[in-house]
Amino acid sequence: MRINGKNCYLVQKTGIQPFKRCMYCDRNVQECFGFQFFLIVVGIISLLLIMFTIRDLPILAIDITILILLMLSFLGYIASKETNEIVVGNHLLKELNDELEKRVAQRTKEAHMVNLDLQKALRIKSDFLRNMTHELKTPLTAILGYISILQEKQLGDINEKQFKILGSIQRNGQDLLHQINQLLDLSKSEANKLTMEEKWFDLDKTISEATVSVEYIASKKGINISVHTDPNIPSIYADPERTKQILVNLLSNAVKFTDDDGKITIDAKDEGEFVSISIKDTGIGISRENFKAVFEPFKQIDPEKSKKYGGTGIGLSIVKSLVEASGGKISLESEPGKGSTFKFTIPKKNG
Amino acid sequence: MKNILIIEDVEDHLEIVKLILEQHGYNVLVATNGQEGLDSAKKNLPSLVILDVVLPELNGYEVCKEMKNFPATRAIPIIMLSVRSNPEDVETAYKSGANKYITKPFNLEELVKEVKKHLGEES
Repeated sequence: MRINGKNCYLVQKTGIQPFKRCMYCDRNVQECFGFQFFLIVVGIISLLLIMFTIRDLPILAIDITILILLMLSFLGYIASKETNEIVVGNHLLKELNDELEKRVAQRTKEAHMVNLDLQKALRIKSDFLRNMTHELKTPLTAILGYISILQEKQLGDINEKQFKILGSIQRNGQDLLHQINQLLDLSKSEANKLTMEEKWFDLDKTISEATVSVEYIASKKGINISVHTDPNIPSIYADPERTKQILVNLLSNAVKFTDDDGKITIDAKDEGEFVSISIKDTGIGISRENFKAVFEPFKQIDPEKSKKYGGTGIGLSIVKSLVEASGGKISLESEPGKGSTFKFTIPKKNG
Repeated sequence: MKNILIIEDVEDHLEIVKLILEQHGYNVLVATNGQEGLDSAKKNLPSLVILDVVLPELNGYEVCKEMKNFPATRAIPIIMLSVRSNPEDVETAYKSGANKYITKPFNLEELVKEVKKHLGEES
């Protein structure tokens, strides 16, 4: 053990690590004198006694020197006694600290390894998802392509019933494609790789395109969808495809969780620096304690209800990522049994 | 009648593109791997090439680069079709010299529109 800067010349030269310190250096008194303190004291006192008994000798100077030496070593002894506990304490503290540092380093290393493993697993999952979606899209391309060719009656006429069936296959195929793209987006949003292609577009048109994609199911359930757009909304600068994707996700949720003969209202408003779009339904609603959970991936609040209404539980988490990647915010107002309102904003940019 | 070369290894995708282009009055040449496609492009000098990305022998990007490096095929417009939708893939396609990148599954109408546009037949 070494106490920095406290070692005297003697200690530095000999390299002995002192256990006790005198008040002048880190070396303990006994070591400095080469023998135990009490021996010094006994020696000095005996010397003094001898000198006092032989009174006639002129030894006053030696007397005083010896007395000073005695006081100094006594002070050194006291100091060494006082500092002893501190030194021992320091020593123990240092040992404890070293041990702790070693443990922290070990744990940090372990955490780092776990982190690396996690990153690796996440990368493997992302790669897998990407490859998987490619593999899924290849047959889907053939299915949707052939349906289009048949629908366009390029290979001959088809009857009304056949046309209707083709329409169903096509709609289901498009739905499948939508799910595949959502999976791809989920892995992109996990890797913070969601891409935006911003350009000027007409919000009105995007809203009606999104509405069309859920109209079929809505009409089957007798759900009425009404759109109110603030006429003051200018053409906005954002990603039209992503905006449509947000709307389609929110609308399909609204349709999914609204029972027959319900109502869905889309409201677009100009709010100065933002354009806000709200989608209000008369569906089953969400209780306040679940407001946060609905935006988390794979979470479905009520297993019984998700059995009834279906869904993968990734739609809203993608919506949230997309809204935030576009610089906007999403909020939710709802009460069980009284419907839900999802509102998101798109910042107005100058392009 | 204008010649369009389709380089595509997925049989069904090839068939669909072929059907729709023939329907619109084009003469279609086909190749099912990159090398064969590149040779056909150099030999037949089609008016336009529709090119898949994942191909045996040479991949789509390589075919694209080769065609843009070869004087006789340099001016031929290339429309790339792929299931890959990552921005990096799209960027690689355009850097290799593609004139248009369309992701699969593609909309037949959109494909025909792009073909006409790059052939200068846009109405």
